[in-house]
Amino acid sequence: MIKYCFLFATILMSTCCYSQEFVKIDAAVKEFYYDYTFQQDSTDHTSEKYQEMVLQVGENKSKFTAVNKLYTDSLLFTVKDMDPNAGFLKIWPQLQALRIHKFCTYNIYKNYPQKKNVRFVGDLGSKKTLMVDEEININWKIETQKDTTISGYSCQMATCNFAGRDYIAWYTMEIPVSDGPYKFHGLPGLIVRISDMKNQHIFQMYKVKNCDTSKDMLFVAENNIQETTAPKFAKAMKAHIADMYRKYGGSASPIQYKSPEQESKVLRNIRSRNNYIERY
Amino acid sequence: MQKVFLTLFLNLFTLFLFSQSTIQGYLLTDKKESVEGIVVSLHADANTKKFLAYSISNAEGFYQLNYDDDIEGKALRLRSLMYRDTCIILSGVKHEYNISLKESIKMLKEVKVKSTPIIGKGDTVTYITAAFAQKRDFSIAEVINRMPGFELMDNGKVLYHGREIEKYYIEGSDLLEERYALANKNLPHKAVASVDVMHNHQSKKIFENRIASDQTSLNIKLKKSVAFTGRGELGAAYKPWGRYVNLTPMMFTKKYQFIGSYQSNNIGSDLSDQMSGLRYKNGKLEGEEKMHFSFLGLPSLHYPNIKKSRYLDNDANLVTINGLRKLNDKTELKINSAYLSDNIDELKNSETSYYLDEGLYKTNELYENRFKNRSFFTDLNLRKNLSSVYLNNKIGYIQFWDKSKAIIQEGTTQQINARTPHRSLYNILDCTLPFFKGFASFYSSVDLNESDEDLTFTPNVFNNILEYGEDISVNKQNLKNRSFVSKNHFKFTKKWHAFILESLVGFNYESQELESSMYSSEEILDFDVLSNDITWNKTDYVFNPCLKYETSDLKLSFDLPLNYYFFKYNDHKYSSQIRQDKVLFNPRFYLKYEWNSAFDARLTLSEVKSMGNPNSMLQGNIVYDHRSMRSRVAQIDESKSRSFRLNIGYRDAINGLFMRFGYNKRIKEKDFILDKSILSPGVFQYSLIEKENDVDINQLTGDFSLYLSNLHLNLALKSDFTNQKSDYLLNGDLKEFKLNSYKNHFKLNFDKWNFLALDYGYSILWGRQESNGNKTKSTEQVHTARICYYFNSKQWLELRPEYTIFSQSENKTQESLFTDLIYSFTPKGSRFSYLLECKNIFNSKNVYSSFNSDLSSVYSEFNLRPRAFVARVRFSFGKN
Repeated sequence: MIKYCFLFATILMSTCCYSQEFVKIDAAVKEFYYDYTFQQDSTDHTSEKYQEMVLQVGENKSKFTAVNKLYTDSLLFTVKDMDPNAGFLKIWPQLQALRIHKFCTYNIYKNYPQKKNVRFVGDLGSKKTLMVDEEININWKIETQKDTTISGYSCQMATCNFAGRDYIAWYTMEIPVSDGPYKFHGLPGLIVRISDMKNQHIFQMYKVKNCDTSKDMLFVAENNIQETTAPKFAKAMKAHIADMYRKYGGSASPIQYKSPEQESKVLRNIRSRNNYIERY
Repeated sequence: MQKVFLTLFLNLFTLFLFSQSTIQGYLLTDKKESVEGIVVSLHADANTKKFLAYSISNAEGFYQLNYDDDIEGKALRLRSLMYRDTCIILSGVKHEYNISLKESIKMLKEVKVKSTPIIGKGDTVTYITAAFAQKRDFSIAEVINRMPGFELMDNGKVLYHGREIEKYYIEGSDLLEERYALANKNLPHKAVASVDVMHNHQSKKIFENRIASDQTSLNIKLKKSVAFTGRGELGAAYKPWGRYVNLTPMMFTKKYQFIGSYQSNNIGSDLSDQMSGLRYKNGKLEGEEKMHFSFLGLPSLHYPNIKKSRYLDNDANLVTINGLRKLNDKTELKINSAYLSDNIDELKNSETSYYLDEGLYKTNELYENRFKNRSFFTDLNLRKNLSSVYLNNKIGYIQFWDKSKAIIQEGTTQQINARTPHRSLYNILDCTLPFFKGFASFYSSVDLNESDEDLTFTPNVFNNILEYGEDISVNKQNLKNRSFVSKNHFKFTKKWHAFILESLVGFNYESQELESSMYSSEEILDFDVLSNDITWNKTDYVFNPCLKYETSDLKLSFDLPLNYYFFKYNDHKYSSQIRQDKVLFNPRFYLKYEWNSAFDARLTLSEVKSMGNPNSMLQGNIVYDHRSMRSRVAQIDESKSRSFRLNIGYRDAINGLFMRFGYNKRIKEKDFILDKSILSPGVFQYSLIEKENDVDINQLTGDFSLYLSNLHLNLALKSDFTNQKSDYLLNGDLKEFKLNSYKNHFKLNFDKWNFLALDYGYSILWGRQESNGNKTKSTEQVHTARICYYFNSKQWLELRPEYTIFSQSENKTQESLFTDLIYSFTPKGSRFSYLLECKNIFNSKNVYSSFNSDLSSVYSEFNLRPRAFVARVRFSFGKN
């Protein structure tokens, strides 16, 4: 039953996706891939989840997103001119395998639409997309005495506080890009690894790719996008998960479970998503 | 103009206010367009990587750096992905540098961090199978054996960091329980994605995250596409003619799991380990319900320290069916059945030196043993494993029809025929429920057993030595036994913060009937001293309060069990009756401290008082073999043992480093001892008599293993030193037996190169023993290797030499070399492999071993399987 619900939701999502517009904002010259390991339940260290993320760096702009989301957007881009149903059916087999955790269904564009701006576009379900535009100045504390080697790059340490957590970042001057995963930027080199002090959210780079032929960096413009602030998005994420919990559980739920154990497992999994990266 | 003015103003302002150097300027392209996002950094000189200050150019191309010291001679570096790197040496005077940059796309060194083959998440360590598998491997057992921290025993058991794993799950289900060797040996590694090692694994979900466990379990995760898999292998051997069949299909779906197997061979592949269900857990023997502990049998042989397949002369057939159905998410119904027919022939030359007061007495015997073992078992298991309730009920039946024959030659020929059938019906119920904010567990087992065993001697044994005035000799010993065993307890577990209180109340009941009689030429020897007819029952009431203290790094446990035994014994032959009761207190203290996830120490202190087996109170003699006859006294023996066990371990699974050090000391005090009387040279009568005696055992163990993933190199070293002192009686005199043994085992696996894989093992065992003034020394060394050369991805050739050197005090040093050669061809894209094997190329005939005890030292020469050529075709079921 859950499978059918997922299918239904995906079909709904696809119709929404078809109302998307793709805008080329830059050409990606480098791609940096990160492993994002996070603890979805702050009270349970075994609730660790994992998502592959990618940072596309262009001449002036950058985009950070889940690899699966980038791939989904690329697939949708290939069938954007087709009949929605035919197009969807064509890419459905590939879409099935592309799972994205709720905490990672976002795109982050730096220096877009204007300089210094960080634009965050996050999906909360298939019908709700929120956008945050902000100018972020991270107050980095450079630790010049501490260095290490990560993924073959010699790195130096810096620390900061961002969105309710203290972070340790390792950046390399061998890659002269003042950028990094998520919203992090502003160091004299690429951030290779960043983790909060409790090791609940860790981004670590595992692959560097030169884009031989410039790749389109796409901004996915939604029709029904709403503007908000970062704290409000974090709050909306909480509300969305609470809403999911209500939808999936109880007698009023349209979902039929095979057993009470299966229901409680699903609900337990939803309830455990309480540790979004930003907290205010 | 505005820009220049602004720069001048800022420059003056900063100089005036902070008296520090400020370097600033604009970055422009050739076309005078501003360049943003350039990393501008100040360095002590042009060669120093460490920077003193940095800035990122903004949208206008403006950058600014502040530095507290003199800037003369310092280097200003400008780096970006899209422009050429630029370096300017600063003069102390100028502070403004407007720089023109030239476009040049920088190519970065492409890095791809390979995923590590071992991944740690919490208490789970995941080993990626593909990283450890080699082209020559087929089963998951071969790959697990190469994973750091693992050790695969000859009997198929899997050890992790020196301890046997508790559960072997496949996709989270425990289909085979203790008989997991069947899956381990036959599951193709290509079907397996990863092997998860779960530390502190709590198999009962009701205790999960509530009551900690110290056990380690293993979960085999299959590749997503795998539902149907298994092993198929058919082969034929030439000179001697032989066959090899192994058809083991396996199916794993969300609702069903199935493993069936038909195996048949007469080329030395042992199948009995796939039936074995016995193991030690927490210092106790488990799976006794399924075991066959026979009273009578052929004289036991001590096998050499080489692979069993080198000397096992067998003709075996095994059929097994194992099915699991998930009734819902957490309830499983399981059926396991197996039938094994195992014929084994053994040929051994044995020289036994008896340490007698008069000096050494030696016998030299040639044994021809022939076993015909038949066994069948079936059990049905229902298991409900929820976070709210745990229920497990198993009902089973097992039957053995074992027969064996020995022809022993020492001048004359002695034949012994043994028949040891046994059957057993059992039921085990284990249930746990929440109870008053704690947990209540109920355990009950019932086991009914029946045996009717015979030993027949041709010619008769013990001629004229029974001294009853008649010419009596024995040609048959019969023993009948029926038993009923029931174990029942109720356990209450309550957790209060870090404290856990466990109280166990229960009783164990056992009753047995045992009759034995000797025959001479089919006539029963109707003497009380030559027969037994006893019945006994024993009730053991248990109260075991246990207090535990558990935090994330410290675990303490105090067990304070009180046992009240009530025992009734009737000897119908001697018309004697014994009623005895006894209270025993067996305290146990356990401590485990974890400094971190890698370092831990375990300490166990225990004192165990136990009552002996009432079957050892038989007053009539029983003939156990052609050389020994035993009787006891009508008094139950007691023993007290104290043990101290310390274990310090280091485990860094991710980096493949494991270390372990252990020290065990055990002192056993017994109030009865076996007196060995010499009836004639080499023929003994054993009597259990009351006399205090001690056994003192000290053991030091050490393990080290390291996996270097870059080199694909696995190194392991294992050492064991044992010192034992014990008392024994010979003709009424108390004597001392001393034994020192020192074992070392080194192992290496190397598979860095695509064309060659190398496994090498070396073990050395030094034994020193002293008994009745006689000193014996023995040294046994074994070199083993597997050298595999890959011609290409389809073909490989492997040489498997094994070289043993054996020396014992008086006997000359014996050296043996056995070598197998295997060639394999797998057509491209095929799941069939064709193997040609020459076993024992040099046609080596014998291998040597020794066994030492207080009374004797046995030096044996075993016959090896002759050279044989084997052709096999091997395939996996399903597309793996």
